[in-house]
Amino acid sequence: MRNKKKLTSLMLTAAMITTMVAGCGGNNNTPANTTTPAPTTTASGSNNATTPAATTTAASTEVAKPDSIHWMVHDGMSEENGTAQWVEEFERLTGIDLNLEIVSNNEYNTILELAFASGSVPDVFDLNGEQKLSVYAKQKAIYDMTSLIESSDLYGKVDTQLWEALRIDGKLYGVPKEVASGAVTYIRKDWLDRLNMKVPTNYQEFTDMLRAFKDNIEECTVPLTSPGVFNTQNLPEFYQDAATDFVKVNGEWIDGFAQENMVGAMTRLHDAYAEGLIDLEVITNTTGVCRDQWYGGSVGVFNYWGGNWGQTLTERLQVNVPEADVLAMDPIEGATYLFSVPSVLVMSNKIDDDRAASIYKYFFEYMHDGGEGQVLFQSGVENLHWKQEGNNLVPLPSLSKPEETLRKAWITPWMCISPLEVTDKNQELHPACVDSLAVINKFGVQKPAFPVSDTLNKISADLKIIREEILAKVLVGDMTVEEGMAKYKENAEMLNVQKVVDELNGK
Amino acid sequence: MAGLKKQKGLQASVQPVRKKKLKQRIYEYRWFYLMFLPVFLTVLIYGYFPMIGILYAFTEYTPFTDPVFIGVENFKVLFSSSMFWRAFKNTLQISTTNLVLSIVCCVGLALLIDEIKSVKFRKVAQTVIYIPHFISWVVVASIFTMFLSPKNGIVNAVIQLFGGEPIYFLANDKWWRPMFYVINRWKETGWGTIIFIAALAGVDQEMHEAAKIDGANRLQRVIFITLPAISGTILTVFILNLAKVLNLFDSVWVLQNSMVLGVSDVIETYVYRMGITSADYGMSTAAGLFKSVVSVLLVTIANKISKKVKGEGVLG
Repeated sequence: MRNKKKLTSLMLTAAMITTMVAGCGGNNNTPANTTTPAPTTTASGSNNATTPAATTTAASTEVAKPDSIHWMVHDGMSEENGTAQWVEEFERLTGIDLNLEIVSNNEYNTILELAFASGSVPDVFDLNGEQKLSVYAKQKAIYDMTSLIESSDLYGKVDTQLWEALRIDGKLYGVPKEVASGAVTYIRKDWLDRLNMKVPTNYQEFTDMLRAFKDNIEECTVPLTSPGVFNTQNLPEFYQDAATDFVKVNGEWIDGFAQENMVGAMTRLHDAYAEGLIDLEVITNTTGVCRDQWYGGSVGVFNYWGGNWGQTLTERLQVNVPEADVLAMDPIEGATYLFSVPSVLVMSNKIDDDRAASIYKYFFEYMHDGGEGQVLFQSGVENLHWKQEGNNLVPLPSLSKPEETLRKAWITPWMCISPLEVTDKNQELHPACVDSLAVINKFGVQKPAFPVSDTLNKISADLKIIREEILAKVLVGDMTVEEGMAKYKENAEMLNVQKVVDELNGK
Repeated sequence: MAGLKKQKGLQASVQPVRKKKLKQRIYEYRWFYLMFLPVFLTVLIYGYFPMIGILYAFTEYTPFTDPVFIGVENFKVLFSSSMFWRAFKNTLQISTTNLVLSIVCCVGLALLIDEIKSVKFRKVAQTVIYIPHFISWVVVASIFTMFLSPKNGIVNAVIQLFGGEPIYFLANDKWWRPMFYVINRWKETGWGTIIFIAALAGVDQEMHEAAKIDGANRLQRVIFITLPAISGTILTVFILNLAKVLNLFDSVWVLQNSMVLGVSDVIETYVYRMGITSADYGMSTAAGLFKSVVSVLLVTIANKISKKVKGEGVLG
């Protein structure tokens, strides 16, 4: 009896210890929220000789095919829309196990940095080309892909300017998933028609239009909305040539916030807010709140992404207001629509040259192969996400929202960096999508990527807070424009912003 | 002589049993020690082992590079930053007010619940007031952002009904903190009453009966019987809460915005910005360490005051 008690005690203790330390072990490369790859893959998929992907397969004699790839994503297809089926299809076609780790978009940068700190870095992930790419490159955290890219067919298929925009100290560290997105200003064309007004072409006409919306359109509770006031991209009519961040002018980097044109921008913002032309809650707005207000039909003007979002903003507004008409307007005189720097797919520097070469060949090149791979990355799985009709690829209703079609898997079809080579995958685009794309493509200006500055890395959080605080206080009238500029200059001096400017200019 | 011998014999017989050696004692109680082992390891692995990370406060460390020892440089930079001291001041002010309000509201509500005679109604009331504790801060922030909206919030609708001007509560320096306290109390007061309701159940009812006979009214009984009876619990809760009083993140993070940073930026949001936005883990750890030291000091001081005032402390 006593021995039984001892034995039981021992077993219980062992069980408790095992359970307790279970979390300490485990494979770093398989996080808990990872979609489990299918255990087996069929070889048949890689034998499809009719698609450009076959070229990739044939070349496998030179570069070994990787057994598995760990890809961390934070945007694109959601799990509800069938990522599991997409992974199965990828594995069937390539014979490679894909460990697709889906993380929240809001927490992506944090999770990625923690992955580096804890040594569980994914093989492939993407970085914001504007700021993060240069920081990671400087820290030698990502693989230098220059020779891989330049010696591949993909290099010749993509616009040289795109490659040049992404070079850091002459090196290429990644491949953009798609070309850059730009934001355009959408207005309620039906309200303009009701008021018998023309599309504004200058600031005076623009504010007259907002005033008319506010005073004469009964359902208009918000003439213009925006998610905050810091991002110049969202308020081009008010900022015009001013910038809240560092900006390149005539080949030299300068502190945009400290320039004289910021005075004009802050004055315009303050006056419009005081008059009730800008959303009263603009400071606490999120993009989600702005979109919901727009869909509800109470907003007159909203600056947002062109292309895909042009269609979404129109369709969802028309669900609530069937007679609504949306127009992506040309920029007013002095205003600039900006393209963001494209997000870039990169590889971790933790992997060796052979593995980097194989992942580049069988993943990066495959997703831009002009055929089977590109269709899979652009439109998803056949008969689940799209179907073939004659020479057209027709998107099917989204699995999560059957009233809408799935417009992209990971790469927006009309924003691919190199066009499809197959001729039977044509797509008809919604007019709202085409119109907004036409505007941004005609007027959009490319934002440059930031060079590396150690000082900026250190002070960026504090500097952003100071700038946001001053802008908000000037907007609501807690601070005059002059007081705001004076406070900024004082703080900029304290944080040594001049050193950042010098570093950005390579001094 | 015979008496002396007898006394010596007695001394020998009452000689204390010699204490067993540690090894022997451990062997004797080995099964208890074995049962204790998992708890000990848990505390060691999850409580003490991570404290090695404190060393990062003395290094320059980013996620991509190995830490480099730089001495107290991070603390020098930290203490020379006006943003840090602003966050520190805000933390102390917000935390202290929140702590006092928490104790007052929780004890007050517990006393009110204790007065409910119907057992069924009392249970329903308790369940209802516990619910907000389980709602995430993100949802709570969304709810109150809607309620307090200057455009179409219910609070401003009432203000306007009485002829007032709408107030942008969450983006106003003067209103942000009061609103923060109200939202905090709405969410946490119910949950905070649990321990006080338990303490109230232990109050001697005979004292109340005697006071009633002596003519004491309800308020007098609360002041002179109930509150002194649960004062030990109030003190314990106060000191325990004081230990985590500087841990302010979720509630502040989801409610703050650029208009109110001057009154809402606290150490934890500062640490988050330094650690995550700027990826400066060394500086972030230094700020976190400083916060922990202040917490330990606060608890130690409170415990000493408690010992002086009541003759007993929570920490011994």
